[in-house]
Order: sequence, then C-alpha cells, then structure tokens
Amino acid sequence: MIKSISYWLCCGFMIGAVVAAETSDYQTKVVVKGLDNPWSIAFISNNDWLVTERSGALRRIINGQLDVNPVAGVPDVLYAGQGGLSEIFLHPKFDVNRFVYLSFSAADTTDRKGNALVIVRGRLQGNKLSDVTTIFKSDPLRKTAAHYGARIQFLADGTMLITSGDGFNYREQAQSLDNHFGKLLRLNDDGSIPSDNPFLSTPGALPEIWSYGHRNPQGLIIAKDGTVFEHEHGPKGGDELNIIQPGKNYGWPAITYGVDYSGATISPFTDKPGMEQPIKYWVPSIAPSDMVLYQGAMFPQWVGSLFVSALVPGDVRRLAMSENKVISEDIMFSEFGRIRSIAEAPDGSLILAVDGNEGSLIRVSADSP
Amino acid sequence: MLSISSRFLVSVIIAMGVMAVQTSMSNLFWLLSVDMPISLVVFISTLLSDLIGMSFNGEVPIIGVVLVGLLIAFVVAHFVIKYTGLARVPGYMFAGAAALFAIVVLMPLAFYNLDLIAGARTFIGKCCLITGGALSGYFFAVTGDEGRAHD
Repeated sequence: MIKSISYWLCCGFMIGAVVAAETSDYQTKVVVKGLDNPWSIAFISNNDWLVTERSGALRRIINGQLDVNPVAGVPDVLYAGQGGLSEIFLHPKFDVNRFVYLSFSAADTTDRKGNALVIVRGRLQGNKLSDVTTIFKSDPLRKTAAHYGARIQFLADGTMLITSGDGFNYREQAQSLDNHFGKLLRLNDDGSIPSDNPFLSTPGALPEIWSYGHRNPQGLIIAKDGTVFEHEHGPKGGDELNIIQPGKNYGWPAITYGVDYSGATISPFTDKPGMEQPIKYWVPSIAPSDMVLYQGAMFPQWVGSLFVSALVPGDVRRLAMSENKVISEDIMFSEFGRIRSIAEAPDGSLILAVDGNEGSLIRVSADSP
Repeated sequence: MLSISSRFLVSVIIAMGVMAVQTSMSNLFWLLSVDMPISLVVFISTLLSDLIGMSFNGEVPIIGVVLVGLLIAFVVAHFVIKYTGLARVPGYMFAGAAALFAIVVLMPLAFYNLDLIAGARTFIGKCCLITGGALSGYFFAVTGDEGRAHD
C-alpha cells in the first residue's frame, strides 16, 4: 500500500516537474504599448522593427522604443470595418534595394462607394517611403469593408503571393476565375505576371490567380522546402489550415465545415472531388489572424511548429507538425486577448501583436525580461 | 379567433419562414449551378435546417430581430390605423414590409454594407424578404377581429 502511494506520489511529482518546465521555459514582456490596431510586423534587424497600424500609420520601433513619428509617405487608406493598412513585408533583398510592400484597403477614386485591396511597393529611406508605386489593385471593386485577406509572402523563386479575401458579400465569386475575390495571387516583385502561373492559358481566367476557393485568408507562410501553408477564417465554424498548391480549388463556398453567421446553411457539403481538403479545421471558429513557422534557435523544442494567432477567444495555437500533418495542438498566450499577428524576430523570439486601439507588442523569449 | 399574441407569433413565423426558404433556395440554386449534387433529400433537409438554424443558431438569433422589428412596426401601425382611419390590411402589410426593409436594407448600412442574411444580397432577394414582411402583416390583419369594422 505504502509502495503504491509512493509510486503515485512520485509520478505526480514528475508530471508536475515536466509541466513546470514546459510553462517556465519562456517569458513574456510588453515591448510597446499604445498602438492603434497593430496588424503586421516586419524586422529590418533585431533592433529595428516596422509595424502597421490599421488606421493607416507605419510605425518604427528602434531598440524597443516606438518612434513618435510614423514613417512618411504611406498612401491614404480606407480605415473602415476590417479595412485599413494591413500587411508590411520586406523584399527578400531588402538590404540591397530597400523595397517594402504594403497592403491596404483603399477607396476608389472614381466610384465613391467602391473600394479595393491595394498593394504598393516603396523604398524605405530613413523614416520615409519613396518611389511608392501601386503594383496591384483588386478587381472588381467591393462595396463592403470586410474580408480583404491582404497577406504577402515571397516564394523562393522571387515571386510573391498575395491573399485576397472574398469581400463577404461576394463569396460565390471565389469559385470563378474572372475576379480576385477569394484567391491567392502570384506576381513578380514589380507586379508583373510570372510566365508560369497556372491559369495563364485558361480562357477568361485572370492570369495572376494561383489558387482559388478561399474565404478570408489571413495566414500565409512558406516553409524552407517550398510548402505553402495558408489559413483562412471560416464563417461560423470552419476555419481552415491548408497546404496550397498552384491551380487548386479549395472549395469555398461550395464545401465548408461552417455555417453562415445567420445560422443558415452555406453548403451542406464538406467535400467534393476536385476540391482540396484542409489539413486542419476548427469548429467552433478561433478566427485565425496570422501564422509563423518557427525556425529560430531560441526555442529548439518549437522548431517546425506552426504558431497560429487567433482572435477568438484570443490566444495562439502551437501546431506540432510531422510530414505536413498536424499531430498536436497546444493553446498558448491566452492571457493577452485578441492576437492579431505573430512573427519570429531574427533572434528567435516570438512577437505577438495584441489587437485593439490600445494594442501592444509582446515579446516571448527564453531570456529574462 | 386567435389571441393577439398567437397572431403575432404566427406572423413572426411567416416572416422567418419566407426568410429561411428564400435563403435556402438562393444558396441551393447556386450550388446546383456549380454542379453540386443537390438531391430532393438534401433540398428538404437544408430547408428544415435553415428554418431552425436561422431562428435559433445564428450569432444573433434572427427570430429575435424579426420579432422586435415586427413588434415595433405593428404597434406603430395600430396607432396609425386607429387615428388616421387607414385601412387595416394595407396598414399592417405596409408595417410588416417596413420592418423587413429595415432589417435587410437599413441594418446592413450600419455594418459597412455587410448582408448578414445571405438571401438578401441581391435586389430580388431583398424584395422577396420585404414581401415576406408584408405577408406577415397581411396575416396579422386578416386574423384579428378587433379592427375588422375599419375594413
């Protein structure tokens, strides 16, 4: 009897020790407070960060201090609904050419009721963007201010992927190839069309389309082996994590694991031949907002894990991966509220952008705060 | 005759029914157009599912929105009919239509043009739902006896 009790006490102690180690191997620290709806983070270096505020400002953080003066030269944005200044992404050869890319929603200059997802490229010189040129504008215009997608990533071949959401009211358009609603798009770094895009020779298809059948893709990451991971907001349930392949149809809204916000059926089907299945989906929704594939040295135990930031209820999901399959899901950082973005800093720490008009950046590191 | 609360609840159900059927049909016809296998069983089960889902399982239960909308509209109509001598049937029909107009046309303006009821995304869809409101008003008017002398 005593032996048995000792055995179980011993087991309990060991489990407790493991849990303690798991929970104490990182520390969190608020780096910056008072950001207005931070949306995306880019790192020029370990000590020089850029962060977008959805209300339209591009802010710089140097040595942990927020520059009071926003970066000049950022175009006017339509700050309404879910729209505003969204992604910032540095060109892979930023050190040489100083190119940064911004995505945002913009009111149309001719149709006052219409707006579009716009991508611009500019050169960051000092605290100013110069040579700003529009390299992409979604077509057709939308009257809603929701579901822009707006993430940017560069593939290894130097071309860029852009996520474009379905605009909420236009979901059926995600199944047509003659528009930008609900698509992943592939462009050269100057906005021109690559010569090997999958629908170049499809009659009626827009040549920049790379994949289709998406809802509101706000997570995009490319692994070293070229695997493209994307996640998208579902409706009421049905958030998806997908592996994207060129030319494929990801099903929205013909197949879905969610229902409409009204409670109505969007589709009674969850699969169909010729439409791709997610590698993971969430019911109920977590509202996935961004994603990083951890490759840093600071947390060797997390290398290869996907970290998905989520707005509802507000946390980060660590997805342990094996052969492009999700093998486990841990819920982390649920103490901060809605997490709008997650990024890996050059030193391997994770940076979380907490949503809201008093938003903040949180650094997750292994060292002392 | 039915009590006023029973008549009102049936009116709400009529408006909800039109909304659910119209939304189901618009979704299912689009699915058919992209070669999704819509059988009779799928059709009927989707209709039933939407009737229940849209009434009770939405982010905001739409039946509550319709109930409040029709309640306000019918109370206003009652006084307008009483003090202006407006005919009862067209009065309540207009009130029902106005309630649904507010829900499917005016409410989205507060949400940056987002049509939360998928069936209301087209002009024809909006017209159908507003007609559903008029139908609910018609039922409310013709099943009551307290104001029949006005007709």
